[in-house]
Order: sequence, then structure tokens, then C-alpha cells
Amino acid sequence: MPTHTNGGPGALNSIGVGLKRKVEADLAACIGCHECLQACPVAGPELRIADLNAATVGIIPPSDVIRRFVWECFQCGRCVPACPVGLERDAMVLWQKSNLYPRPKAYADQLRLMGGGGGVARRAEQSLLNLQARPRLKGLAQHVDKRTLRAADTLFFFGCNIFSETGTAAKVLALADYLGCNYEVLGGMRSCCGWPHLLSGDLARSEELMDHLFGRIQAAAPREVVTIGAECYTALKRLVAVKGEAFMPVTTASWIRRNLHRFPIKQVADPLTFHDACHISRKLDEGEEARRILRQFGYLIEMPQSGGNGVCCGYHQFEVNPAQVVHLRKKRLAMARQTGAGTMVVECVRCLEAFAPLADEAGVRVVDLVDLVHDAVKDDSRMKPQPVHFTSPITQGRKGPIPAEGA
Amino acid sequence: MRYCVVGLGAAAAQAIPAIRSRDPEGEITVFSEEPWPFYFRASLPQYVMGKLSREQLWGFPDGYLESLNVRRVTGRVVAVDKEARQVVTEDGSTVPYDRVLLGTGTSPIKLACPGADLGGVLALGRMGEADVLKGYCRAGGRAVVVGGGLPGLTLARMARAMGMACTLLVPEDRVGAPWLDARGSQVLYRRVADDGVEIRMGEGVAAIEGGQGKVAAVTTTHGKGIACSWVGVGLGGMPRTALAGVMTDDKPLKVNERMATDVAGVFAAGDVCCVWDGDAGTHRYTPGWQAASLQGRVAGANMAGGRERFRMRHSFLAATLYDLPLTFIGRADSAGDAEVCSPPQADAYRRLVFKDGRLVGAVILGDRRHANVIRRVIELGVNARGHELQLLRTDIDLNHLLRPTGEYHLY
Repeated sequence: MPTHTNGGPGALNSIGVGLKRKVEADLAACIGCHECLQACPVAGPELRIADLNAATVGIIPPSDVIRRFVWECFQCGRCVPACPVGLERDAMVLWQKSNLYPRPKAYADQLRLMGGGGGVARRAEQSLLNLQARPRLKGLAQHVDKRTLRAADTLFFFGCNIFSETGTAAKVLALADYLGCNYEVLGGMRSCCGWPHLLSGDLARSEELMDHLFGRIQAAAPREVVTIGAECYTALKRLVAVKGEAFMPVTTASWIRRNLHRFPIKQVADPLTFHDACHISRKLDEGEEARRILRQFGYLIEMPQSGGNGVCCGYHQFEVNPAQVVHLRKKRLAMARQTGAGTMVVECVRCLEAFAPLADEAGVRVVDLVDLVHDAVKDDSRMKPQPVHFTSPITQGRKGPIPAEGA
Repeated sequence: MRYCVVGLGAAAAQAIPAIRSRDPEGEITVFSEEPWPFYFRASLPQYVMGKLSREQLWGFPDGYLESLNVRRVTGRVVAVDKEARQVVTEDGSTVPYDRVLLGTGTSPIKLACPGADLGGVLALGRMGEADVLKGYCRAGGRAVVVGGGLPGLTLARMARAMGMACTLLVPEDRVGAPWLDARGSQVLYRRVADDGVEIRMGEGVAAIEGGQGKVAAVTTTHGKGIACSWVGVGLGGMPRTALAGVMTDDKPLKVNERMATDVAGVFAAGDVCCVWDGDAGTHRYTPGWQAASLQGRVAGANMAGGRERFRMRHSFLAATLYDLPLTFIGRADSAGDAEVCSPPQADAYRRLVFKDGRLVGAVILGDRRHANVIRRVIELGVNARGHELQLLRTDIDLNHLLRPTGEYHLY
């Protein structure tokens, strides 16, 4: 079995050590039933477990079919509950990602500027992007890669998502202002949580970024850290599990639900449906929080594939096969439309970014949970106007405009 | 160096690459009674039900064994001549060895009642048996399955999935024995009954009647006659030990942690053997595909001069029956000094056994959430005192129990 990660040949980091042990044990237990591949949104019929297992342990070189599968896998985890003997195929594919070369250019392009460190040229490029984004970010710009954090009860950790064209970060802060919260904000490329790197197979870089993030969060000594991205939330959960419960990671859904009685909720006329974020609903089984809020807004209709059986937006394929993910997203939106609900609600900013450009064509409105609450309170006199329309440096090259609130 | 590998199951499949990676030049001969490549035996039910093709069962990439320069002999091995150091096959031919691995697995336990040799009395252990079963599984008929353990329940599920009526005779006092206690058994029982299987507890097969050499009906030990087109025997397996020279009874072969028997040059791995557990001071039988694979890997490495040890202190068995995931970790059957259980529900039940504040066994029915954390808590001997009830819950993150190890499990 190969023993290096994309951090380069050499000693494994702690994530790699655990992953290697797990993958070795899981491969030995695989009974070849193919259920994982049948549950997979990207695996084709030409893929055989025997070949995949052999390539995972490195006893045969990966074929083109396997290479394509490994890089197209977006680590949604649908394969895990499908396994009759409780194995984690996604971890096996992650192991392959961490050992497979060369990495697709799309991965490098997407991850290039995420995270701190690196040479002078890279830091200069990040600074330039921050500078370019500043006019569009408006009020949020002050929080991008800022050096010092003041102590606060609540830390809004946006990481790279602070640049999201959806405007979710600004809206969350607007809600926090509305409530009069004592909060601090951590955002920008240099405070990336590292989870996208993990999902790409770059385990060493991922761990480095998570360690860095933990140190930064500790500086603010918050009681809770609220995130708008499902992957960021998972990274925070791992941090407190491994390093100690210095703070409590919180999704926006949990944060909103706790404060729901303080928002003037308005019932919406159309029924709603909910798209689960894989990392929250399937991997952490916390999809119920968002549903509880949605039931306050109106009638919630579930899609046939929801909860732990949800379908991924494919964001973390890093656009290796854009046609494939667009096809999957369209299928998901069609599923949402078939419920009869006019609005599909998400709770992760990445899901929103993935679906929003296709929403008009699909005839479904796609909004974040934060949007619903923001809409409910935006006309309230206590609400301050917030800038919510800008362009993300991460997604500059992406086609199709994403209409932002108030654009 | 000359290596012989008897059997081509999970243990052999791991042993062969392990030998070859350490000894590129040695002669490797593999003996298998079946003409097929190495295949995933545990997925035979899916093959019978038509969910998998035969080719999807192959466990190696095409041409892989050939690429390792392995000589394949199809035929039954009847003896291992430890004096002359040679393997003897059914046709009398011999193949010399320096090291031999016995990975013969188990064979299904047979019925010992009148009519047990009729056509249509079937077990599911090998591809050939699966092919026969495919022919018998036709919608409209009735199957009688005997055995309330996992093999019997699998056969019953298969019959129902193929559109047959099914009667399940359970000679034991509960379904899911010996893995499940009475409460867990209730959960599984309800699932089986809801699937339309007629369950007859405490009854076995007294006789099988037939005509023209084929099964026509079963008489149960309670005297009930049941017309059927086939009888499924799901009573489990026993070590396939009919190998003169090294194995003399039906008990598993004893091996040390290096998977070596006390006969020089003879190794064993998989369901045919039990492994010395130095900590417990006894040999332990750890059946199952995963243990066989890991043992095979260790045996192969040691046959080629390695010094590896098999150290799977805790058994792990997982399956899904009637859409109910079943997970058995460690020694839930053993007498711990404390245990906690969740109330049995239609789709979930958990039972955890503790000894000296440490978790030693777990039975998890339904949601497998945190099963991997629980497994590591058992394997690493984490002190779980004070967390006993927390371990029953699926709605809280248990990773903090593994904090000293730095491990983190998403599921």
C-alpha cells in the first residue's frame, strides 16, 4: 500500500495514519457486493470493485476508468450507508486521491489560493485579490484576513466563503446586528478551514490549515463558532474532537433556531422543500435543525431522496467534470420541482452556489435558510442595510451570473 | 522456495500477493476445488437474486493471479504429507512444498435426517451451490429454510426476494443466535415476519420426503408436514478439515500469532483456524471475511520469511438483513461486569458490554452511526467509565472518547 500523501513522499500526517489504518482494515472486509458503486452518483457500470480495491492497495496501477472515478468523486458519502458491512468507500477513495498523481489541474486551480502560508508570490496574489474584492465586499472587507481578533462570545467563521457571491455572510452579520450580538468575524483565504484540501486528498495541507485555524480561533476565545459552510462546520467539529472542546461549532441553522423566537418570522405562501448538505445531514446527522426552522416558515415537502439519503450538489468535485455535476444538479432541481414546492432551501453556502445558477432554468427558487430569515426581518426598522452583492475571486471564472439579493 | 496454498478464499487471496511481494522468484501453487477465479463468497446471495453478474463477483482484476506467476491446480486436496512435505490431491498427484497455507474455510453443516441427500436440499457456500439455488428459486413455490442464524435468515430473505413463500424453522430459542440476545432477537424477528416469512420457533427438520430424487415436503420435529420445492440448510459452517496428515477432527486448527501451526512449514488462515491470543492466554476463533483476509496477509508474509503477527483481538461481524444493518463487535456474548441496552425499537437496538470500565463488546442493530468510534473504543481499550449511556446514543458525537489517540471518525 502506498505510504505517502500529496504533501509529498515521506511520513504520513496524523490524518493519513488514521486513514491508512482504516482503509487497510476496510479493504480486507469488502465483500464485493457493489452496493457502494450503485449508490454512487458518479460511478459508471464499467467500474468493478475488484479493480477498484486492487488499485486502492496499489497492487495494480489505476486504469483510466479508475483515475477518472477517483477524481470525479466529490466525497458525498452516499456509498457509506449503502454498504451492508459498514465500510467507508469514501475513505478508500480519499486514500486514492491522496496517492494518485498527477492531480487534475482543476483541483490545483480551485485550491491554489485557499489557506495561509506559501511563498511571497502566493501571498501577494492573495493580497491583490483581497484588494480587488474590497469595493464589492464593502462592510465585510474589514474582516478579510485581518491580523488580530478581539475576544467575543460568538465568532462568525466564514473562511473563503466570505467571498461567496451569494451574500450569505453579509446577511448572517445583518441578522447578528439585528439581534445585537457580541461577535467577531474571521474570514478570507488565509483562514481557510482546510476541509476542501482534505476532500481533494491533500491531507498534509489540510491538517496544517486546520491547526492554523484552531490557533486563530483561540485568539478570540469564543464560546461558539458559527459557519455558513457545511465543510467548514465539519472541520470545526473535527478540531474540537481532536484538540479539545475550546469552543462549540454551530451551523447557521442551529444558530438561527436558537434565536428563532427573536426574529419576526413570516409564513411563506408556497411550500418549501429542503436540500440536505451531505456533510451536515448524512455525515453528521444534523439535518433536523434546518427542518425545524422551515416548518415555522410554512409547509415543508421532502424530496424522495432526502436526509441521509440526499443527493450531493457536487461542489467538491472541483469542476473536474463540469458537465457531469451540472447534469446532477439539474436532476436535483427537477426533483425539487416535482415536489410542487416553489422554493428549494439549502443550509450550506456551497450548495447555494452550486444550484443558484441553474435555478431559473429549472423553475425553482433556490435560497439559503439565512435568506428566508433575512427576508423576514429586512423591512424591520432595527435592520441595518447590508451590502450583499459582489463577485468572488474564487469563482471569477465560473459561467452564469448568480443573482444576489438586492441586485 | 516452494509455496502451496490450499483453497482460494479470502485468506488465500491476501496471502498470495503477500508471498509474491517478498519472494519474487518462489514457486506458488494454488489448489482450488472450484474452477472459478477468486470470488467474493459473501456476495453469493446477491448473485442468486440476480443483483450481481458472475463477473462482478470476481475478487481480483482479470489476469492478476497470472501476473503473479501463480500455478493454478483445480482439484481437491486430500492430504498434506508433512514427512515428505508434499500436498496430495484427489487424483493421487503430489506437489512438493517448503511452506503450505491451509485456507480451506468452512463447509455448510448438513442435515442428518432422512431425505437429507435428496436433490433440492441446499446450502449456500460456493458458486456451484449458488448456481443450483438459482435454478430452484422460482416465483410461486415454497421454500423451507432451517436455521435461525445469519445463514438461515439470508436464505429465507433470498427466497422471499425471488417471490417464493417461505417457512423458517428455527431449532434455536431465538433468531439471530448466538450473536443476538433475546431483546435484539425480537427486533430481527419482527423484520423477518414482516417480510412474509412464516417462522416456526423451536422446530427443526425431522424428515424430508421426496419423489424422483427431489424434495417434495418436509416433516418438522413437531410433526407438521410442509410441501415445498426446496429446503435451505442455514445451520452455519464447520471448518473444512478433511485433510489427512494435519487435520484430524472438526475443530479449528490451532495456530500461533504468526499463523503457523505446530507442524513445521504448515500455516493456516481464515475460518479453518483459531489463533493464539497471548493476552487472553487462549486460542480464539475469529470467523468472518475480514479476519480471514487479515490472517491471510500475515500468513503469506510469514511464509516468505516475514515476522508479522495477527493481532485482531476483537471480532467484527457486520451484515445487513431485511434492510436492518447488524453490527457485532468484540465479545458481547461474554460476561462483562456491566451492560447497557437501548429499548428495542422496530429498527434499532443497542447493547454494550463493559468490563472494568472498558467497553468489550457491542451489538448494534439499525443505525450504524458511531459504530466505528465504538469499535475503536473497544480495540484501543479506552476507559469508558462514566460514558456508558452516552455510548448508546446516535445523536451526539462520540469522537471525544478517542481524543488521546488523535483519531476522528465522521461516521
